[in-house]
Amino acid sequence: MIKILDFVKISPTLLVLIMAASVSSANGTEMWGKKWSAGFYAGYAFSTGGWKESRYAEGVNRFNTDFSFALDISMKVSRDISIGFQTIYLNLDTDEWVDYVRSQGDGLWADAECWVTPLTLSHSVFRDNRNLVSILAGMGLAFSSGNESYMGITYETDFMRGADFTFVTGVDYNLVLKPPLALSLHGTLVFIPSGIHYADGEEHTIIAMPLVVGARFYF
Amino acid sequence: MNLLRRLKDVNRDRRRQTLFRVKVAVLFIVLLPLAVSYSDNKSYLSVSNKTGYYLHVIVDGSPYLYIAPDLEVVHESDPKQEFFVRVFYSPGQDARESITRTIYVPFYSTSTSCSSNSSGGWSCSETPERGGSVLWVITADTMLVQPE
Repeated sequence: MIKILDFVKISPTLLVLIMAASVSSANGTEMWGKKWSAGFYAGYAFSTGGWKESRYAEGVNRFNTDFSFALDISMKVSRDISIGFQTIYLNLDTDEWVDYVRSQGDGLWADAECWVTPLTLSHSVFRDNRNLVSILAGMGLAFSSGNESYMGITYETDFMRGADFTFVTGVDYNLVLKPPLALSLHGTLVFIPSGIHYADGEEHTIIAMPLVVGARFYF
Repeated sequence: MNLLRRLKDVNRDRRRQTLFRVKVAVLFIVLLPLAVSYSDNKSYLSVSNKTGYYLHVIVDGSPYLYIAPDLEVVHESDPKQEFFVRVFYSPGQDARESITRTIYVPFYSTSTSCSSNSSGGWSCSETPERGGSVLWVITADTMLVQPE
C-alpha cells in the first residue's frame, strides 16, 4: 500500500506526466491577465551549508533536505508585478545522523521540519501566449521544529524552535495547459539566518533550494 | 503679510512639537529594554561544560542540546528555589554517563518594610520576591558521580 508520504514524493512525477499528456495548443494570453492565481506544488529540496553538519561527527550530516511541497496565492498589482503569499514545507531528513549515532552504539530517534512563509513580490520577465517566466523575492517567517528521543526521554530540539526571519528569491515558470490551468515549475532559494541557533551561541544560516512542480490556477 | 507669517510660525511650532514627540517616543523605545532588564527578578542557572564532550542539559524540562566543550548555557525562570537538572553526553560520542541533580539557588521571598514618615504615620513598601543566580560547572568527574 502506498503511504501518504510516498504519494507526496512521487506526486510531482505523476503530475508532470498527466499534465504533459494534456498539453494542447491552448492560448494563455488572456489567462496571464487574470488578477488572482494560486497553486500547489511538490518536489525535492536541495541544500548546502554548515547548518546541515553534525557539530562533532566529522563528515556526518545532522540534516539533509528531502521532499518539499508548497502552496501559494498571488494577486496582480500591475501587468507585470504581483504580490503573493507562499508556504513552503521542507522535510529535514535525520536518517544519516541517526544511523551514525546507532553505529556508535547509542539508540536515537530524531525528526525535523521547517515551514517557510514569505510574502513575495514577483515580476514577469518573459511572456508569450503559452509561457510566462517570473522572478520573485520576498521575506517572512520560518517555523522550524524537531524532536529527539535519547536516553529514555523525548525532547524538542531547542536549536531549531520558534520563528525566524527568512528571505526567499526564485524563478517561476508557467506553461499554459488548458485555461485556467498552467503547469508551474518553481525554483526558490530560501535563506533563514539563525535558522539553527544552539544555546551556547553557535548559529547557522539555513540555505535550501526547493525545486517543485505543480498546478497553477488563474482566476 | 502678518497673517501669512503667523501661519508659517504655527506650522513650524507644530513641526517642532511633532519632532519632539517622535524623539521622546524613540528614546522611550530605546530605554525600555534597559528598564526591563534592571527590574529583572528572575532566577538563573548557568551550566558550564568542562567535560571535553558535547552535552545535553535539561533544566526543568527545557532542553539545551549539543552544548560544546568550554561553553555554557543560561536557563532563566520566574523566581524559584531549585532547578531540577538532568545532564548526559550528547549521542554518538561513545560516552553514556548521565546525572540528575537538584540545584538550589538563592531565593528572596516577598518582604514588607515600614518606616515613619514626616506626618507621624507609617509608610510601608513591599519588595517583590526575586531569584538569584548560580553557576554549575560540569566536569568529566561530575558525570561519574552516581545519581541522587
